[in-house]
Amino acid sequence: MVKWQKNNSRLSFFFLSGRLICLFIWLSISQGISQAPFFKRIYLNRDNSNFKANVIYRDNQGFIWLGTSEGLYQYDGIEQTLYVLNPKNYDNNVTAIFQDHQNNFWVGYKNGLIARIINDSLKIFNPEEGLPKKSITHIAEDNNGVLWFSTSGEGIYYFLNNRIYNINTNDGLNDDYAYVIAKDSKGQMWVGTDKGIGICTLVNGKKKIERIGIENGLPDNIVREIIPDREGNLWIGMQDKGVCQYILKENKIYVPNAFSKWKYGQVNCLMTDGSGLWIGTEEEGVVFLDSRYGNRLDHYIEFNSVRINRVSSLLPDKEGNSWIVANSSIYQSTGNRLMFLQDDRNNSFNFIHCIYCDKKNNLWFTPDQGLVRYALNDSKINKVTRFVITLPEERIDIVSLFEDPCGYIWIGTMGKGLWRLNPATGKKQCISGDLLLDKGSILSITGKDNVIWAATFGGALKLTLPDDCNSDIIKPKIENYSHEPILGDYFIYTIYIDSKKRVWFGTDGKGLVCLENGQFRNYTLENGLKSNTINAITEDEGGRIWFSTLNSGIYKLDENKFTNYALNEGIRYLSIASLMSDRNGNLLIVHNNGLDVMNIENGNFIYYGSEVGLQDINPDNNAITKDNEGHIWLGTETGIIRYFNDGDQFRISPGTVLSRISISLTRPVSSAQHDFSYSENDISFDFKGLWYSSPDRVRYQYQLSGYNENWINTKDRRVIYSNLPPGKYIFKIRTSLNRQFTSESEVSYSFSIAPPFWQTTWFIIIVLLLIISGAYLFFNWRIKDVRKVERLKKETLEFQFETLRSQVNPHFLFNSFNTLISIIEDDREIAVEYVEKLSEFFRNIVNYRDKNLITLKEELNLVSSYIFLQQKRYSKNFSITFDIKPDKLNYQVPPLVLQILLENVFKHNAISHETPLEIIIFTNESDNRLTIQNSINKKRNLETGTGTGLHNIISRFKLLVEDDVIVRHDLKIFSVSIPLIYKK
Amino acid sequence: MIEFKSDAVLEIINARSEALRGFIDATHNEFAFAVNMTSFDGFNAALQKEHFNEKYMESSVYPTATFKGKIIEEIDWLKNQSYQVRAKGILTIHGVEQERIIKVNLTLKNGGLSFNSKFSVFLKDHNIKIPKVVHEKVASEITVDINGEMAKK
Repeated sequence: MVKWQKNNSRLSFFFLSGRLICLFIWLSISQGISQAPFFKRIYLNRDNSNFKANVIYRDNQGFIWLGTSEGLYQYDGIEQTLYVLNPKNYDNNVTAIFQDHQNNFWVGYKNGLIARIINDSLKIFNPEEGLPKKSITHIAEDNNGVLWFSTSGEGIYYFLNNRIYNINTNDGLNDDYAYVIAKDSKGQMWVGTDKGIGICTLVNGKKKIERIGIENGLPDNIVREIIPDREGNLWIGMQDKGVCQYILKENKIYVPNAFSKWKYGQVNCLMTDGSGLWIGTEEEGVVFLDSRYGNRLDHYIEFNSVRINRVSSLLPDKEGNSWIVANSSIYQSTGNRLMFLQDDRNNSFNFIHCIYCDKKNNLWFTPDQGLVRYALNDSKINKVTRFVITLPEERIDIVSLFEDPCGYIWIGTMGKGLWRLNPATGKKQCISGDLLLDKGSILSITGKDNVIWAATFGGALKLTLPDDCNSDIIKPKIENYSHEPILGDYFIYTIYIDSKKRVWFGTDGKGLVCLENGQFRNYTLENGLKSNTINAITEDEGGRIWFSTLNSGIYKLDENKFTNYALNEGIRYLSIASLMSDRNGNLLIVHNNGLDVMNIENGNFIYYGSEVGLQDINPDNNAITKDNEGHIWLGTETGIIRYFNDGDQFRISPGTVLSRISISLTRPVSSAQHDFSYSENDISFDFKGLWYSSPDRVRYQYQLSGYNENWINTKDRRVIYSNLPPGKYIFKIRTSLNRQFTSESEVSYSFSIAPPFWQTTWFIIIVLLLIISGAYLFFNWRIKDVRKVERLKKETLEFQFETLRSQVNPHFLFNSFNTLISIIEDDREIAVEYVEKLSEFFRNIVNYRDKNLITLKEELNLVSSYIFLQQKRYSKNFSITFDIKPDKLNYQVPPLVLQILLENVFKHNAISHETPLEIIIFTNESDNRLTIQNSINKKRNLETGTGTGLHNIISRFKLLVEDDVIVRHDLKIFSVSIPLIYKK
Repeated sequence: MIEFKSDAVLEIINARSEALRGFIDATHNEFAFAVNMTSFDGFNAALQKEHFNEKYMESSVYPTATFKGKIIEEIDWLKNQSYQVRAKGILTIHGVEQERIIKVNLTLKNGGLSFNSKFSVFLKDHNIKIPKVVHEKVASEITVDINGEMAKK
């Protein structure tokens, strides 16, 4: 590699002069040169040597799926997920994969099983009709959504209205061994068999089969592969005769010339991409038919020095890569976009210092310090001319090439001057006549019409060709611009003439210099550039000038305005060797780490680095050229690389997939679910940026709006949110290759977490209502209780007062004493007893009046003295009967209640011999009441202070028990029934 | 024996016939079976059988149901063995032909053959019309159970 050493003082060249003896030997050598893509092997299971890949498929989201001997793999570029049948004792050898228009995933197995992916796991398809017992070779869907399955031995099956139907030889199919089933642009299903092609359609549910065989011009009856192309025609791969095409409009079989002498054996699979047709063979690797060259077949039998035999599946991805299942292994390739030039021993050309394409589409380059011309237009790839340009004592280092209007090639060397070569004869002329040319180093040559510009270590030279330049010996007029103050005698790395005929100089120290209308001007640090060293200049299709600076990335000059593109804008490496724009609006940026292709319009990048074999390529400055087809060729230390963008709209940024949403990391939820409960607030998101070209470069940016204020950048593919508060959220994820995130790549998922029930409005309202009503009830009850107690107290007091008052009733005392007097006269002993009873009576009143309740037994005991006193008074005119069940004796009553009721009886009734008083005190079995019943014989004049006794009793009982005091009153009988209180 | 079952919302109808007749051509893997529609018995009511034959199946016009076709799998007819095979053929019921694949369990033993199979028939497929009134009494999908034994000839 040539390094411009700055300490090689420019002055030294002025002392090197004198004549050079040049000896050129011209040779034309026949040498094989071929172009091969880079193949990268993808390892899914390094542990298992029995691992065999059969088939490769791409789903609608862009995921790559692989059918293997171990089961079905989903591959995202970094990780893979294995899907196997459950239970595991099934043979998981997957032979066919298909996703239908409703995104259902269908998988066919070698043993005839068919399975579907349901809820992210494989479930065996179990129709009533049963499943084939022969291998499923292909699955396809027709325009009506009917699924078709081809089998190796049972013909084909289709699945319509939940029933499976079969088409085999009995129905008119060519053969039961069907290799492939494919849909054409009319919706007809093409079946490739051992006995030609069957075209199957369903007309009103009826099978219709047409046959195509040798008799119709099919070169070979064994049809192993059929694929539709973009025009709606079909490519047909055969067992022995290569490939032919079926032109659907003309119903004609067409055999391209390239296949007239097919020598690569059995065709297994086919694939088309923008550049041509890829053919996978059984024993001869991959064959490529370049659609632009018509008849040329490129044959790749070695992938990175591994001999490839059997190719079983081919797949184009959305990024323009080709996927190849070869020797049961998986390879990824940049396909036609990046090709590596190889010699006939499959070696690359190393240490390329210079590469140039002339107007006849010959590629000139300099392997091993020689000079080679490679005719790109020639379909015979062997047409290579090697020019050996050498000096007797040492080899020559060619660093610049240019073709003048007469077709002569100008050769700039390192320290060996400037040469002009007649490519037809090999004759050369050493151009001399200026100090800078003698033993000079010519870093760059360019020109327009009859003017040639040469860049040297000491400034620029302008060489004007004579009118007739068609001569092996010419004498151009040489002008030395090293004295021009703006350009100076500095190193000049490159000279570029743009579409406006401005001449641009990339200098080391003077910045970017422009010569326009005879005037020089320059752009330097003072104009805002970060460096005054410019080593590459180019113009894009929009007339903007792009140039690279030393370690400061590149600049765009658009109407005197500079824009810098460096690491932040997505360029991977700041020391840029070459720049060139392609015809699809991309700028190619070449540096040691590979190739960055920038879309000028939107600033998106596609990178080619180590993943496609470009690492430490150490490219020389401006070792870049464009051929007549628009391919761009790069010369590097490690080889010659052809870049081509065929203009296909490939994806240029990663496909963003929100692959999994789960609760607490363990429970996956469907993306159709948007509502979560309060406890489901540990949510994790797994996402993927599908970019198979360089999966490691994918960067992510996410935001949980409602939680994160800003976007968060990450390399991880999972984010976990714990303990999210209730609320509404939108999770947004973006992907990018160069950290320039746009909403184009955004995928979002909105969800909400419900508040816990105790935080919901209705719950709070209900609780508040409950508290208020509870408090109300409590206070109400409390107030009632307090009032009740107060009333009880008051009643008790009144009762005591009433009792006392009645007992000290003067009538009672008066009557008692009268009775006592009469008894004293008759019977002294009874008189004593009477007085004792009287005193006992008063003592009882005093003893019991403070109590709230006493037992009925006590009460009866209490009234017995009173009854004794009254019996003594009224003798036989008064009778009292007790009929009280013994079990009621332990019930309770307020003290003296019976006493007061009895007093009332005596108070209200006149008692005489004619009207005796009968009192019955009794209880019933049926209820807990005590009744005091008496005969009525009303007094005319009631004693004073009456009426309050009964009233007191009634209200007192109201406070004590729920049952009321019942008073019955008719002409003859008066009764009061009081409830007996049960107390444990 | 052939038995069919209509499991409708309001009524389960189960009828069977012993009158299944047929043959298998072992050299060509071909078969043909037929059953007389009037031979079905075991309906829930005598009137039901009458309706079955007169209204729905129109047995006087289409007296038999047939299934003719070919067995997809290869079978070694001389070996005592059990197979699960698929019979592909034309099922004719009510005069309407439907191509069907029917899964059959087949056991070969000492020159004899026994088989059983279970499959479904949609009334719609065979243009068997059920008045709306009895929709809840007759299922739109009828399951058919077949058990048979055959002797070598």
